[in-house]
Amino acid sequence: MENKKIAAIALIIAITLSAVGFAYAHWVDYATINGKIQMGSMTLVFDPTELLDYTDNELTLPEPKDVGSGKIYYDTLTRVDDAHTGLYGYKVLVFEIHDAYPQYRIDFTTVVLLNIGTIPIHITGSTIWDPTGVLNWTWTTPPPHSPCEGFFWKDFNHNNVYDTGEEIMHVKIVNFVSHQLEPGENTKGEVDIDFYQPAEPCHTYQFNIEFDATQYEGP
Amino acid sequence: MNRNAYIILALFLAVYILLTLYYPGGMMAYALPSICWTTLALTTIYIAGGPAKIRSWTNNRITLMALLVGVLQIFILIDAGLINKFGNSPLSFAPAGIAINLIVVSSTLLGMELSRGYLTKNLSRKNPTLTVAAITILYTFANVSIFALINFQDPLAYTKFMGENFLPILTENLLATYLALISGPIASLAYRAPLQAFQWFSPILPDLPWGYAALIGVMAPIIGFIAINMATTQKDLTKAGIPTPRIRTPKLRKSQKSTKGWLAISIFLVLAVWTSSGLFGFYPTIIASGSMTPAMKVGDIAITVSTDPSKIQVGDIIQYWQGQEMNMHRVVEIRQTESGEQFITKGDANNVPDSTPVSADQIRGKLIFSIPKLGWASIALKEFFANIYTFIITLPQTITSTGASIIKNGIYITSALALTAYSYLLLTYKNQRKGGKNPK
Repeated sequence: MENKKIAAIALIIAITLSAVGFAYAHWVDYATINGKIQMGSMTLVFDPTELLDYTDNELTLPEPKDVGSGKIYYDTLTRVDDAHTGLYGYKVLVFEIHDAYPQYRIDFTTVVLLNIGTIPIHITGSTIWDPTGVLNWTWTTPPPHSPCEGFFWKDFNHNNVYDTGEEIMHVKIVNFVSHQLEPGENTKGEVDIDFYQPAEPCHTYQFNIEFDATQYEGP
Repeated sequence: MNRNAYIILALFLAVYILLTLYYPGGMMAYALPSICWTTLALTTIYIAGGPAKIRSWTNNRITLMALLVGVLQIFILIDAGLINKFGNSPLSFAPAGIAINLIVVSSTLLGMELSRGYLTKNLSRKNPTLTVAAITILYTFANVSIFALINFQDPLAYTKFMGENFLPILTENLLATYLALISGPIASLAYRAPLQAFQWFSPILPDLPWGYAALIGVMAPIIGFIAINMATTQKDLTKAGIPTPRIRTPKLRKSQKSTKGWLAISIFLVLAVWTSSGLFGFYPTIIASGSMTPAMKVGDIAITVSTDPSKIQVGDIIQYWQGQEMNMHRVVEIRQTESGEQFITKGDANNVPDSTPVSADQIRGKLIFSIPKLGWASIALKEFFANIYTFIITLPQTITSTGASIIKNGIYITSALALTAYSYLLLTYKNQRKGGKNPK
C-alpha cells in the first residue's frame, strides 16, 4: 500500500511537471537544441572534410581587379562529436569579408551540411549573427522559406531600430532549409552575399551561421 | 555462466555490431533498431522462462526506489535548465513522430534491460563487483560508439566528449546494472524509463553547457547508487542470490588501513601544493595560449626552474611577470642598458617580437621541459567554473518579462516541493530499513 502511494506521488509529480513543461514551451520561443538524446542521435554539422571556397564578381578583364576577398572557416570551438556514430563536425561556420565595397558580391558555393547522427532529420532554419555585435540581422524571407534571406544593418544613428539606408550586406541561403537528410547524408548549398552602399571601405565584416534541425519521421 | 547466457550475450553483441556499423535511412532508421531490440527482448523472455519468472526476480522496494531516483534525476535536470536555459526538443511531436519514437524507445529499453537483467542474473554471482563492471562496460558501449572514443585529435574536444557523453552514460549504466543485479530488469527499467521518456517526449529540454551536463549526468546516478545501496539490506542481497559473507577483518586493521589511505592522500596533496608554489625550486605552469606553438601547445604543462638572469641566453624560453600576468616566450635578443640587461622576447608563433622588453627583476625562471597535454583537465575545469561565474553574474538578465518570471518562479516552487517530497520518501525508506517509523 505504501509503495503504491509513493508511486502515485511520483506519477502525479511527473505529470504535473510535464504539463507545466508544455505550457512553458508554448509560452517561450526557444531555439531548437541539438540532439542530446540517447538511443539515437540527431546531429547536424558542417562537413569538416569539405573544402570551403568562394567566387566573387571582381573583373579579370580588361585588367585584373582584386580588392575584396572572402574567407570562410569552421569555428573549431563548436566541434560536435556524435556518440553513436563516432563522426564529428562543426556547428558554426564563420564568414569574413575583407575590403568589401558597394556592389561587391561574393558566393560561398561549397558549404556542406552533414547528418552525422542515426536519425533522419529535417533542416528547419538557421541562426545568423555578427559575433562582434556591430551589425544587426533582420530576416526578409525567413526560414522555413527556401531560399531564405535577410540583411545585416548598422545602427548608424544609434536609435536602436533599422532605418532605410542602413543595410550593409544582404545574405541569401540557398538549398539548405527544408532539406531532409538521412543518417550519413549531406547536402550542398550556397551562401550569397551582396554589399550595399553604406558598406565601409577598408573594413572587415564577419558573421556566423548555424543551422537547426528537427527529427524527420518519414513521408 | 550457463549456455543460455552465452546465447543472450551473442545476440546482444550481434545487435550491437549491426547497429554500430550500419545506419539505414528512411523508416528503416527506426524499424531496424526496433526489430533488433525486440528480438533480443523476446528471446530473453523465452529463455528466462516467461514474464512471470522475470517478475519473480523483482524486489518491489528497490524497484520503487529506482523509479524515484530516475524521476529525481529529471527534477535535477529541470532545475539546471531553469538556472541555465531550456531549448525546444529537436524531436517530432506530430502523432506519427510520437508513435515512432514510442516504438523505438520502448523496444530499445526492453531489449537492453531484459538482456542486462538476464546476464547479471546468470553471470558469476560469486563476484558481483566484476559482474557489474563487465556488464556496465558492455552496455555503455551500446550507447557510445567505440569509434567515438578513438578518433580525437583535440584534447579539449575529447574532455568535453567524455564529460558530456561517455561518463554520464557510464554512470547511468552502472546504476542500471546494479539495480538489475539486486532487483532484476524491472528495477533497471524503472530507473531508465523515466529518463528516456523525458528525453524523447518532453517538448522542452534543458540546454546545458557541457560542464553542467557532465556534473549532473555523473553525480545524479552516483547519488542514486549510494541511496539505493544504503537502502539495500542483507535480506535483499540474499534474495537476489548474492553472497554476503561476514566481514572478518579486525576493526583495528581496518582502521589502520583507513589511516594509511588518508595519510597517503594528505602527503600527495601537500606535495602537490608545495610543487605548484615553487617550494622545490621549480614551477609547473599550464600553457593557456598558442603563442609558443609548436614548441609548446595549449594544454601542455611547462616546468620552469629559478635561474640567475645573467645565465639566460638567446634562444632560452623564459617565464616572466608582465603586470599581473605570467608570460612564457623565447629570448631573441639581450640588450645591455644603463639600468641593466633587457631581454627581448617573442612567441614562436608570432611574427614580431613583443613590444615591451623584459627586465631581470621580472624573470621567474627558465623552461627546462614540458609535459604534453597534461594540463587540459585543469583548463576544462577552469572553463567549467568560468561558466558558472558567468551564469551567476548574468542571472538577473535572464528573467526578461514578468510573465516568464511568474512561470519560472512557479516551476521553482513546484521543483522545491518535489525535492522535499523526495527527501521525505528517501528518509522513509531509510527508517523502514532500520525498522523505524516514518518521519512525521
